Amino acid sequence: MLFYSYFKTLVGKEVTVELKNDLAITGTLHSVDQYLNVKLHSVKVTNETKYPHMLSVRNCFIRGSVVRYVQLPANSIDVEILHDATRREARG
Amino acid sequence: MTEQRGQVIWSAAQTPSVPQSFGLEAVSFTARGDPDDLDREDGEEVVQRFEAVAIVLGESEYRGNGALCVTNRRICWQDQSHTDTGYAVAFTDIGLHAIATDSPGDGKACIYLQLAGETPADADVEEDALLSKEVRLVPGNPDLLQDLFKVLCNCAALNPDPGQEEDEEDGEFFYDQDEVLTGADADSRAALLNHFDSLLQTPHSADVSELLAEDPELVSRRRSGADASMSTDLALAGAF
Repeated sequence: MLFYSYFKTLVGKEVTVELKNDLAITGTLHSVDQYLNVKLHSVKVTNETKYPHMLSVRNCFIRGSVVRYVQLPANSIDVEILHDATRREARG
Repeated sequence: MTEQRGQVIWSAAQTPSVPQSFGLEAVSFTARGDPDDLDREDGEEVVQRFEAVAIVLGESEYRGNGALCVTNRRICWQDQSHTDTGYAVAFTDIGLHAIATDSPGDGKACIYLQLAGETPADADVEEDALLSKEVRLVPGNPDLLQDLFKVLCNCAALNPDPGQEEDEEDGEFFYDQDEVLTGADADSRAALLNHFDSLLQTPHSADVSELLAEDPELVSRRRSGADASMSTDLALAGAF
């Protein structure tokens, strides 16, 4: 639940969502829910030769369970506080 | 060329006309246009229907026109020329859905799906896996796209993976979003961390009031020191 709350603070920022099938999608975070389903706007696909149909995609909904990584915007992150909160959640 | 690739994929499937992979399944329909295995007893219901929606499986296999029946579990597409047959895919097998502004042939805007379901172990998918994992739904009326997209988003959110359900009681506390947004200084960070600790150690106040309602003397009877929260803990420990 920590990351759900955390991602919510990043709404409106640009993130890159990397899927388990190696597709990486960059876009503006529009919403995220408790299952870490992610909605992105103004989408760009980095490996578009592999997924040519994604070229014309602007808005997309990504199922939380197919996400491998989310790359966060470095300048909107306080690493230390995230660290602490993560540790505490793991302990709790 | 693309047509050829499409044929290769589907001939590799066990039933020639139906790709038995990635969660896409053949489904039959009732006269009303519901999937005939609609599991009402288990809470499955039709959310919305969309008329005149074409489906494209993989790269180019054009399946002609049909109708879409979205239930709270899956997307079902009914073939217009063989009205009792079609395909269905469960929301748990859809990794991604999106609005795309082109589709092969007519260049119409469509809903693009990437399937993430399990593939049969014996299926020959090495080379062409990507193709059969992509499905596009092309509404005859492009104005329906936003609507359809929204319905799919809502229904996808209703279908988390088994075991992924969050405990609602855990969902309330732990994190001050404003602190994170602005970045906290050392003092407020310490305060925040203390706050976490207090949340972790305090019993639910609802539990306490319930116990007190049952036995108003509970806390005072067991109070051994001046620390009220300590005695609450003791009272609870004694009560269970």
